[in-house]
Amino acid sequence: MAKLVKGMVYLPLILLAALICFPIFFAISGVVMSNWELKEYLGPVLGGMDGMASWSLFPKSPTLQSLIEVLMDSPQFFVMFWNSIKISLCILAGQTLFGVPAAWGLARFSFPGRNAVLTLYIVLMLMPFQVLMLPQYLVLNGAGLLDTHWAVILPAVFSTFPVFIMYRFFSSIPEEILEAARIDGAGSLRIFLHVGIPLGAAGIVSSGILGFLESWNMIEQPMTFLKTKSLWPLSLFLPEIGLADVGVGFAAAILMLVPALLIFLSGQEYLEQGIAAAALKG
Amino acid sequence: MNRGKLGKIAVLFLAVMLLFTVLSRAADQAGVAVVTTEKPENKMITHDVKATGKVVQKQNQAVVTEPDQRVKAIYVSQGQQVKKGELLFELDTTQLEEQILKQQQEMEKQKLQVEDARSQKDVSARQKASSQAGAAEQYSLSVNEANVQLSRAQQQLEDAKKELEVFRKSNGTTPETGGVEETLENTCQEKSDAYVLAQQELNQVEWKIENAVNTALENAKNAASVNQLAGKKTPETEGSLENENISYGKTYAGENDGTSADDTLIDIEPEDGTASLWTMENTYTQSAGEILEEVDTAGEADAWIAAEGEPGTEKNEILYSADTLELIEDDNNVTANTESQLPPTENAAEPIISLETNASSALPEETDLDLIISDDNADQTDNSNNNIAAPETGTEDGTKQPPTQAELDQIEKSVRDSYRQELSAAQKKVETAQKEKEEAESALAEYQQEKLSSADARNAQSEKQLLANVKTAQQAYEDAAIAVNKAAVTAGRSVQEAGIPDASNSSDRSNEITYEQMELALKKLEKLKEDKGKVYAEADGVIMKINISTGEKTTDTTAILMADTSKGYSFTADITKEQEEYIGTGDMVTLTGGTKDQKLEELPVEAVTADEEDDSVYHVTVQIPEDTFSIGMTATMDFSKKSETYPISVPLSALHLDSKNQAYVLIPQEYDSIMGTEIKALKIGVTVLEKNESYAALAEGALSGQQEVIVSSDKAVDDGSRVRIAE
Repeated sequence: MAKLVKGMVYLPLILLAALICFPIFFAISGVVMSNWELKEYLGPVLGGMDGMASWSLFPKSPTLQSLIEVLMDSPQFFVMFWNSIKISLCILAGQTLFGVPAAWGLARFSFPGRNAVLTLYIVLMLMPFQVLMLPQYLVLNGAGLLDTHWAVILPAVFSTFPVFIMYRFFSSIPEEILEAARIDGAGSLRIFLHVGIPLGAAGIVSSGILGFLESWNMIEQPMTFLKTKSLWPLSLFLPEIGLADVGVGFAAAILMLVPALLIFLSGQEYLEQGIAAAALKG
Repeated sequence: MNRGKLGKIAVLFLAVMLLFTVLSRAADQAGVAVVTTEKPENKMITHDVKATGKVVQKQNQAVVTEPDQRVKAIYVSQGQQVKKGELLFELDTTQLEEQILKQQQEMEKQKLQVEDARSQKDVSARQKASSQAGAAEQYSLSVNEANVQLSRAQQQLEDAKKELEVFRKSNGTTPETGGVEETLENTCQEKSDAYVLAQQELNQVEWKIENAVNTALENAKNAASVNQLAGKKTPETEGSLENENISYGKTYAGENDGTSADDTLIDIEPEDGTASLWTMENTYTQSAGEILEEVDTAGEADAWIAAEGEPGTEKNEILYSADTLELIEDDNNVTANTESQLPPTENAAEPIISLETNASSALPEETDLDLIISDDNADQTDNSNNNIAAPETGTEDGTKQPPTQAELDQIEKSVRDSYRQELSAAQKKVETAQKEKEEAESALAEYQQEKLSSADARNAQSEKQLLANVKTAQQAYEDAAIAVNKAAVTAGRSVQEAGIPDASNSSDRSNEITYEQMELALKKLEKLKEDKGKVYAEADGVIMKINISTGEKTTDTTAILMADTSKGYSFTADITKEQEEYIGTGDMVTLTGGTKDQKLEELPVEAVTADEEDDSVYHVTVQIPEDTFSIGMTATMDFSKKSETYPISVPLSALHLDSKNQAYVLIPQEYDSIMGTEIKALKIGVTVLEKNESYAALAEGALSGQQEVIVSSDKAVDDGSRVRIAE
């Protein structure tokens, strides 16, 4: 009886989970589908054909042609892939380099106007990109950085969001531990490096994962600041795809998912803490 | 999954991505065409025309000899150079002599034939003249004989009348002058004359029709056989016909007093300016004149014309067929018979009325007749023209076939149709004249019968007998008058037929020509005999072809064909249509040939002509100076034509043609792509001003002098193709 009740509870949950996972299945089945089959299903949406778009999770003639085409015949994909890797890693490094000390300073040092700065950070964090786009463009243009990767990297490096997440983690470190370190003769730098960073590692990692995902998926910034196509990240590859090579699009989407998935899996537990911390910010 | 494993997977993933990055780039570059580029040059386009040909003679000379001669010896061989006067070959003189003798004999025979033909022609001419003279004599005899008959009949009539008059005088029953009986007799006489005249006219019309039909048929046949002469002959025929008609018209109208017949025939005399009266040259003329004075002739004539309409119009309104003619003729006979049997039993009142009617109608009828006769000549001439024109029209469309029987029938029918009105009018006139004559006679007979019935029986019987005699003599006279006309027509026809020329005979001239030809052939044979059968070269030359062989007989074709070296040599070569565009008459070319590669420079092109069979081939002829190349030698012609300087000239390999045959070049163009700056080929349409085998001159505008142009590629390149420029 208890099993039956348990099963009745799981069934809707499984259905819901399947619904949520459908895009993943959609992408995976699209990769192994023939081009003609994809045209048949997606023609009404992408090719202007009559009728409604449909989908089948099990391809009629499975093939890896799309994947091979992406890997062997699309050097453009790899140019954009490495551009994305470069931009994401630079952003992560920058955030680590500048965001961690900033968060530590805001969390652990008391100075005049600290609350005002914190409020400014929160306000800036809440501003969407569309608001900041024009000021950023003007500044980058003035600095001569437009149409270079720095135009995308630098604004992201000094983003307020990771500082805010790390601020929460650093703030939660008990003052007694820092006092003990001071008593043991540790200076501020030593306390930051040997006490603050290890104890706030969860916050740093979770902000890193969130920062990577954000930079990996960013579309508006490269579209706005990068004119030269060879500088584009992978996120701009998919908009270039039409019905003729929609299979290539699916394969590229799956390949694009892989790094994000690996990052996510490696820092899953920190990410959960980070998201929880972010949820507390309001 | 621990982090270490995840890290390895991440590293592996990146390594794989790195590997595929390299592989995909390598694959991508393998598909890119490597091209070489050049800048357009400022240069001239040179057209080189090179062709190999042969040296040939400018003129050939054919050595021809008499056919059917046996060749004794040939002293030259093919390719041999000969001088003027050099012995070429020799013929067998024995056979030549035989042939000369045979030819002389043949000529003798031909000469005899010529003479025979001439003699035959003379005989024919004499026979022709004789038959013409005979026909003319026959004509004269027939007409004379008929005239004699007429004179006799007239004499008999007069005798009968005199006898009647004497009888009456003796009985005291002489009719008073101007009395009823005399009037009736005069009327009778007039009607009789009118009848005779009408009958003669009918004969004349019938003859005319036959003549016109024959002429038209003859013309149709002649036109078919001698088409060109049709135009010339027609007017002659027409003229002769017209003349004949006129002559007959004159003869029977009595206007010509040249023949004996005319004296006894009818005469036309204008009387008092009111009307023409037809009379006989006898005693009745006066009586008729008296009657005329009593009757208002002019008034009656007007009335008659008004009632009947214009004579010409009347003719047009009434049509009679040939069948009708026969019927009418039959009717005439019947009427004549009836007339002779008519019993004289009428009362006295009717003849007087009848007399007035007849007398009044007699004159207009004759006036009408006069008009018709004069119209007839004109009508006939017109009709002759029409009839002759019909076969002429047939020949104009170029048909030279002889006309079929159906066509001839058609022609005959059309001629007869055209005369139908005239014939009908004449027939009607005869009929009317006969009827009137019968009525007048009947009236006279009735009057006389009545008169006699009141006299005593014996005298009455005698007078009746005498009257019957007069009537019989009258009829005999009428028949004789008609017979005169018929005899003249029939005999005239014979004269005309005798005058038709014989078919042309050219056998005598033909024989003469044959004789002349034989004479010419004999002279040639004798000349050959004089030369002892030896044939010499008439000019310096090279023997090209020998068509005779020793021991065989010669033919009438060329015996030996010689290249006449005295006229010089020329070089001929075949060039293509494209080459022909650059070389023309007067261009200076260089010839290279001979065993030592002798070079002749600055030789002018004499002619460039198209091949008669293949229009893509042209022949170039170049005159060669004497004593340079020899006949049959192979030589190479070189010619170079330079154009003006063009600022934009590209190698021909850079020029492409699209599907619409429009010329274009491809230029490399850099563009921004995901892979960085890449190069693609861009199509630029150009106008080709001139080109040769290696370069093309382009019009300025589309391409600048500094623009690199793709001139070669290791792969097929088209508009939009990615390329890489070779270093």
